[in-house]
Amino acid sequence: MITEEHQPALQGMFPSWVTTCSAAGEPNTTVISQVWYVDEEHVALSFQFFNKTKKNIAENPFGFATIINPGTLQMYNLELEFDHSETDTDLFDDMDMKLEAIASMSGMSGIFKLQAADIYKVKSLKALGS
Amino acid sequence: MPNEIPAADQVQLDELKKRLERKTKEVEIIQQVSSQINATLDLKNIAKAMLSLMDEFFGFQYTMILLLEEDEEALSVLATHGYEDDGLGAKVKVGMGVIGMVAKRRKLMRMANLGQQRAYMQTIRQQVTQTTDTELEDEVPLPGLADVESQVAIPMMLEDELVGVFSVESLGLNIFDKGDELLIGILANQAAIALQHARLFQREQQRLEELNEAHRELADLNANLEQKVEERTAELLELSAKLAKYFSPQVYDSIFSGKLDVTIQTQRKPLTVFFSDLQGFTELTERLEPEVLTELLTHYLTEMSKVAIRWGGTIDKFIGDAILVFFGDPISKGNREDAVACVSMAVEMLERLDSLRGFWRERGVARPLNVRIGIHTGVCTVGNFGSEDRLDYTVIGNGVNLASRLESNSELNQILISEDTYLLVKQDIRCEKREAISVKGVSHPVQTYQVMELVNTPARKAAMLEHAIPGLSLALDPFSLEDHDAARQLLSAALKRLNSKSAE
Repeated sequence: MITEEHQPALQGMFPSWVTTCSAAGEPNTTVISQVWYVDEEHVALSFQFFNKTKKNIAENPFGFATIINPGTLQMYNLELEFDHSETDTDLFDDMDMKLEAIASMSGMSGIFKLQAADIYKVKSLKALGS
Repeated sequence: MPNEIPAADQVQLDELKKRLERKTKEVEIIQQVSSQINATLDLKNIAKAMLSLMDEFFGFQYTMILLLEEDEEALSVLATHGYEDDGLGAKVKVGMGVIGMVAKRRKLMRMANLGQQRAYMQTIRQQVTQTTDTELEDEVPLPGLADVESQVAIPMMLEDELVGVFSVESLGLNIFDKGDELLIGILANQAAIALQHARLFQREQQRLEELNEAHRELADLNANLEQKVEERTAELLELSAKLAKYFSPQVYDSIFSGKLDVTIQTQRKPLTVFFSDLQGFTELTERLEPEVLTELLTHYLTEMSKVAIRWGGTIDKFIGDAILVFFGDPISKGNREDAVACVSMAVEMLERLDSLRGFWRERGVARPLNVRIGIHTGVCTVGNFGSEDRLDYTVIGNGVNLASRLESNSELNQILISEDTYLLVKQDIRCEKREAISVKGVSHPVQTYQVMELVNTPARKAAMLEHAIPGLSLALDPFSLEDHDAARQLLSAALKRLNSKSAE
């Protein structure tokens, strides 16, 4: 599903939008710095704080993301379903490392703690405007 | 057309061609980087070569190589490429920033959108400091571009060891795609190997230099050794010269020439023992200032020692103002000669004391220095006495006591000798018989003699008459002649006989 064509959009160069919905049906859209590539079928979101996205997903596991290829400015819509959380995988390390690198540059080593890498199954991927 | 390739196949073929070209290019790059960075063993040259090749092949404009320091707590910039300020030697703590995190985790990291992410962090930092009491660390300036957008940092690994970090920065949003990642990783590890070799080489060079230095020092040391030995010998000589003051020259020579071991050993030998004591000196000590007294005593003992040494005496010790000297050990010239030397020394000491008296009278010591001297010849025990830690070369025995007794029985500024000494010196020294004295530990009274004068003086020699022709032998010594009348009668009787014989 995810191919080389979509890779640049998953590097965190442009922020992405993630929309979730509460059990009561109230939607929420947030801007996040990166949707991470896991494999052709999966992406990951970082879980740092217990925010509304996290709360909604706990009630309703479906979400919707929009990513942008910085080279072509092509936007893509992804239908997501929460799969599981990871804390001791290479992916988690990778995400944690980046967070720590940025934080340390701002004199905030150890302040940000990546709680988990939340893995989502990509149910559909569609290029906008096509 | 039978030879025409179908369009779909043509696309696939082009794709394969492209891949082959890429692979060929990759192998070429690896070979080139490899050969260039292995052509030198200089750390900086390797790093520089690596960076310029990266620019050439991948268009990386801003690159740097940092080496992990030995304490593994920081990295320092070894070489940079493309920056205005070369930033050499700048440090990055392990765990700090992109490069520091790569060193810590030993994993490649690609960061995009850095400007925005840092701005985001800045906002949070402000919030944290404004709303909480959390103490934050200062922001640390890191080497590299101030307005960097993208950064890729690659750990340079040698097996499991981190050697350094290779960093690529860009003002643009993307640096390289995943396809290049593997190749760059291989090149970084190639560089790590070369750098490690260079590092080891440098360390070896340093050790070689250290060895050379040590070698040079050793050579210098050898060259100086002879000089040092000479210096040391001179020091020892100086030291022994100081020690010499505490020994008679004969004893000193014996010790330093090794003829006499400094161990506890003694022997019995015939010695002539001299004992002198200043009369009334104890009283003097109560009247004189200590400084004057010291000077006086030192002067006296020094002058007396000079005389003793000149005559070859062994100065045994000073006991306050008393002097104990003996002749016959460690060097003996013969019992008679030793005894004569001892008495001659005593006579000279009296003469010397006479001039000292004048000297001290001028210095305000009105009371004259008067001495008593006793000399005895007998078998004594001589050698090193004492403990293992402290030895005294000295003489003990009845002979010493007797000399002391003779001294105390002597008249002022006279020399009283025992009969044993008298019998040895009477040829050379005129003496007068004195009273016999009894001495503790000696069964019979000891006959004593007072030394009158040295006989073998130039005046005596001139007065002596010694001739021998066939039929006549004459030896006249007016100084030792006691009964002048008897001598005259003898001579006139001899003359009468000669006259009557001539008249026949």
